[in-house]
Amino acid sequence: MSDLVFDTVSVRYGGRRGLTAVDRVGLTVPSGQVVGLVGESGSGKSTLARAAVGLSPISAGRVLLGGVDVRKLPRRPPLQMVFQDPYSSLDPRMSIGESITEAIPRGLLPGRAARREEVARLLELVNLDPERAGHLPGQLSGGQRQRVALARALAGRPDVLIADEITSALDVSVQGAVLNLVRSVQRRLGLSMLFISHNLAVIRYLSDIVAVMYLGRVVEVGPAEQVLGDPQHPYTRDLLAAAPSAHTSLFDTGADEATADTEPADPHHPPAGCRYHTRCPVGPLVRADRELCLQADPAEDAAHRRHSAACHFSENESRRLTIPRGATAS
Amino acid sequence: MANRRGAKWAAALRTPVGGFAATLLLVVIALAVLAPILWHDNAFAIDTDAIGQGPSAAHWLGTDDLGRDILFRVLVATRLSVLLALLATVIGVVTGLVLGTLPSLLPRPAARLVTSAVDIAVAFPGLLLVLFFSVIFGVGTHGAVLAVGFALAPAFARLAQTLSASVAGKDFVSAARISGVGRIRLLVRHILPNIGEPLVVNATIGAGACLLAFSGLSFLGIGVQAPDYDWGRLLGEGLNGIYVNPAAALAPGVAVVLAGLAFNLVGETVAGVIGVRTGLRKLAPRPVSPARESFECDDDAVLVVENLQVAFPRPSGWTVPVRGVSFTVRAGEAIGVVGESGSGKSLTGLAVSRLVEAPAVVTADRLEFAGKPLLTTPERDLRGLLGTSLAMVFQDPMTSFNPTRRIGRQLAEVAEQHQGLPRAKAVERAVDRLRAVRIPAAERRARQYPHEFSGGMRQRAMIGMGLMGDPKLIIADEPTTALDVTVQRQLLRLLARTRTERDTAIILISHDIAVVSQTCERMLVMYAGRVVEDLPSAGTPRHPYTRALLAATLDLETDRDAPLAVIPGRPPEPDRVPNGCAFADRCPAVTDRCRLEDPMLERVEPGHRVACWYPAPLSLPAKETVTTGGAE
Repeated sequence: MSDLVFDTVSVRYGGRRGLTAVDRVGLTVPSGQVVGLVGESGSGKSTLARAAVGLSPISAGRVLLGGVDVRKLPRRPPLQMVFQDPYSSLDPRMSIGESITEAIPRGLLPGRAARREEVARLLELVNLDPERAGHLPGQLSGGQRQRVALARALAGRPDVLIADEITSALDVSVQGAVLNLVRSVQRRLGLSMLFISHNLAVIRYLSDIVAVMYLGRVVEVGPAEQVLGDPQHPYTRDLLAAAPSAHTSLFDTGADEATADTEPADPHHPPAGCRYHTRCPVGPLVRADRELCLQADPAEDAAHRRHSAACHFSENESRRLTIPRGATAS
Repeated sequence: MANRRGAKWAAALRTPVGGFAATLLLVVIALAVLAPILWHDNAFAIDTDAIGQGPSAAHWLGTDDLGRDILFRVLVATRLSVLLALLATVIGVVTGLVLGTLPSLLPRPAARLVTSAVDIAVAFPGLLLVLFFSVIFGVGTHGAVLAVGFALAPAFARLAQTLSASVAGKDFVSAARISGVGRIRLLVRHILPNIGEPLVVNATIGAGACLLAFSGLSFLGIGVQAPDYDWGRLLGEGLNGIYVNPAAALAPGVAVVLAGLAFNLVGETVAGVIGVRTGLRKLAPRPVSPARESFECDDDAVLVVENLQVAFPRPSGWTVPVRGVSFTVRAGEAIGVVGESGSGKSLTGLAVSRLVEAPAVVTADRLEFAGKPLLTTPERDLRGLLGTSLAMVFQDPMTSFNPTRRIGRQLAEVAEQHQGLPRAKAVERAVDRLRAVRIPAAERRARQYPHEFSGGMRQRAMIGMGLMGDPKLIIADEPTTALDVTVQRQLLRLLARTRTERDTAIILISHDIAVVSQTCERMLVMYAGRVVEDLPSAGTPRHPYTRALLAATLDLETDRDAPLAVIPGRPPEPDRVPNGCAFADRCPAVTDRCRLEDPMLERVEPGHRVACWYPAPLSLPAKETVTTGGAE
């Protein structure tokens, strides 16, 4: 019932020389599932999330929640968001109890006692002592604040939760606790969730479906094990190879010298044809015969390809990858 | 919380300025309340025998044209003068607040209109506005109050606008909007409380200005009209007879100055208490605790650090975020420093490169770079050495370059300064270095400004700047934290390549243990201002903290069905480090000894030092010692 559907959504800032942060993105967050959205900074993943809750202007397309356009939903939509920075997402002058109370839909719980009980219930849900309701955010650690932010989001009784880089400001030792909590809460409440991160390991741990964004477009989407186990788009493969790991050396990846030091494209002037062609290790930089990438936009017929990959040569390349890496890296 | 705030106010009152301001304000208020009650009759008593006299025993400051005592009149005028100034301030502040916050409530076109109106009003000098308004509202007390008030409004509106715009951009306002909080409630609950303090300070100072402006109007005869009188009017009357009785003009003048001073100084004091400008009292020099680590030094060391401590003065005493760190870096060696935020890793890097500024105090038994003691050599002699042999790369590539100058020029400057190269040669070298850090189209990029570079390219240029000299050591503090994984890999490769090509040593400071073990052969694990383990990256960690950190690190092989490993609890605050082992409260293998005695960093095998009473045996796999689940 509560599918969150992005229907060819575009977000554009500025006038004629402006920036299209999100360009005709289609993405579905099925009811009760977690969709992980990964991509580099500037790829438009946060803008997409903010568009769903009305913080970014949708210039074309629609965002549908349970079939209804979110712009036509009541003032407290069943859609909530948790932000990246726990130090700026809580009002420093309001006790955490007040912050959470404010997010409880008006009329849902008449009476002060009922609301206080609800705050206590929510704090317990996120493993915080309900006694702390009177504390100010300044008295809490980053991890604890992020729990409060989660409790506040849950106070709105959402069907869909959007989590925007919620662990990237936290230390490793705290990150695990927050992710464990998010997962258990999501399962217990059957929430649909759009989980945004630049960290592929975090995305992999939490998501049922993985979507990869590059320069305002979703370039690959599919079930998590498939996308991460058998990536179709060269950018997804590059992300996987670049993920830091204590077990691999810096140099033993499949990336080519020709593309190793290329720069991310300028979002103000997205390249023609395939947007990834300026960095692609299997594109025209490396293989002169692939002129197609310079002219034709692979997004047009992406729906027909596996994982809806926005790559003209995804079929050829993923087959080639089954050959041991050493043989193809030449 | 309330206590601490009370103590802060009490401390502010004890400062000379604070005490003086409070006394002065009390006197002004007391006079405003009491003077008309006590001396009303004296001030109006007409003494026809003593008209326009100078100071005498009967009339200390003399008398006016009707023979009324000037001292009493000045004292009684306090109430009206202060009251009118405050009234005008209230009008100004309220109007300003409304104009300043309207844009966040109105639809966009109307908001723009209000903003532009305020912008235009701010462009006029205040005095001009006062005169303009007083012509509109007419001569008299009412007109003058409105005129002074409205003249104050634009500046206040601008301030309120700027402050509320910065608060409105914060995430907590977005969060409240998402949960359906209306605009007016948003303004009242979230924006106003967060901009209140600077507004209060400015209103207090504004009251002083109002007093002055009002006195000016009355002096000119367009303010308070007879038979009422305030200081401005007294001043005007006194001026007529200034050659006969100077005191008659001076007294109201002094009163205006003193009352204005009272308002301004109170504003300053309030700003000092609620703002950041808290004065630090002088602390006695901190006793430096002796080295407590076994220490061995190599002959070919580029950097020798022994018992490095960094301390900050706080009102409560010294806080020591780095509590005795010792290590050496050999030529061409890459070592990583890992730890959580607050572990002192960045501060260690800054202290080594002499970038820790007063009032922080850096001490060390030994701190030598390329054979030179860094703490005792005069700064002038060090500048050349550090400028050419030590390179620093910071986390935020946005702020490491001067945004107004071309990248190439900024690099070239290093060579001109430290190597005395002529300009053309220096630029040539800059382009060459940019090429060395693999910046595509280096010649063209050298002519570009920092904002034309992407984050990763800017970090490359930063490394390139370090390579303008002949660096023996590069200290990189979280150089890839703001970057994406693909760019991060490029940069780490660049560092690794630079190191092998030039035999440059590298200190890589990072919170990510995976990044460090990929790039460095040795790592120092820091916790609560100490190195708790110094081990080869390929080695098996023995300290429970290192093992816990490793287990908590997510990677692409993490088991998706099991809960993630966490480290319960949180690190101690730097001013409340326990006597025993700092990790004891979070350690799964803690004993009584750990809580009482602080373990030393000691060698357990060649090239491996651990500060733990019970280092894990080598055979134990790292992941099994860690507790799972639980809360912080």
